[in-house]
Amino acid sequence: MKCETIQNNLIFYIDKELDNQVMLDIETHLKNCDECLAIYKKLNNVYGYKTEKLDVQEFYFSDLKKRMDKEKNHMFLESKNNVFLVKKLLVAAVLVIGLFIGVLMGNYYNNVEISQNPTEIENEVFDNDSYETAFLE
Amino acid sequence: MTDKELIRQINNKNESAFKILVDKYQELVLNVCNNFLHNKEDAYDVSQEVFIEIYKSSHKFKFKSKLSTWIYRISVNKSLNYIRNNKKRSILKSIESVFFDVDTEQSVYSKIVSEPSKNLEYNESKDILRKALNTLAKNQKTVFILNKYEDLSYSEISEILNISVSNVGVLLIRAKKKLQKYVIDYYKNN
Ligand SMILES: [Zn+2]
Repeated sequence: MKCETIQNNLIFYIDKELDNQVMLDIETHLKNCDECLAIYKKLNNVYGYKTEKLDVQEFYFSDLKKRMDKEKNHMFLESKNNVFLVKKLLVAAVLVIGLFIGVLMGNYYNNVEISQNPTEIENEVFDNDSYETAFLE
Repeated sequence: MTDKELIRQINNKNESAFKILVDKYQELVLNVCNNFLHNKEDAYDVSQEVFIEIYKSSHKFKFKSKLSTWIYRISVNKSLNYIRNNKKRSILKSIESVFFDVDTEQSVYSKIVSEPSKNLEYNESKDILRKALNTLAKNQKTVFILNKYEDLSYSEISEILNISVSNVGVLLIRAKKKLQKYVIDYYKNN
């Protein structure tokens, strides 16, 4: 058998779904062909992967009950996640707008100050320090 | 209690009957979802949606199939819906994570169950398999997961998905060929 034919049937070989003779032919080929053997091993690794089995959880039912109660309270909305998300996005939008305005105004005033007196910014740092220590006391 | 009695009591919104059903099928539902989603937290969330759906629509179940078949069907549908909506959700999540610590919103499950450390090759296999599965058509993927990971027979799968047994076989062969091609191409190109 050609390598291509072998490689097109490896998955059925792994599942032992081929006729006995074909199974034997592939087995023999794999013993003599490094390329097909390497591919077989890789495919076997990936194909043989099983998701980890999840066990029963004690808190499962109480968690489910909580979820059902919440759903009852939010019946007019699609899901609780949407409510959270809308709230979060609103907060985010306000923050971004606030930040944007802050930066704009900051730039504006800084520019004004710098053009008026460049040393004032340095003084401001010291002023802040003294304010902070005053606050701590 | 028989399944019929269980469903009858759940129809009457009997909580302890519902708890019996949840306890009985929790493991099955959780693992079906996890096999579709490859993520414990998502599987946990979706599995709970499955039970909420069961609770809401138990009156629609007329015992034309086994109860477990119906539960499988809901689990598959919920998982597929989740995958479909996930793209949209992941974009929102990435916006969200720019501004907020998303960890605070994690489910109870993720706080309690920590991922055991796995070797690199194992993680790579998991990653490639997940990507390969994503290349499959929805029905191919479903049939494949139910057969390969849930060990269900062709006839059980045909009942869950309402398709013929021969169709199950055809979809399974196509799924395997496509997976095989993806994995082999991946290794040849890397
Ligand atoms: Zn070869």
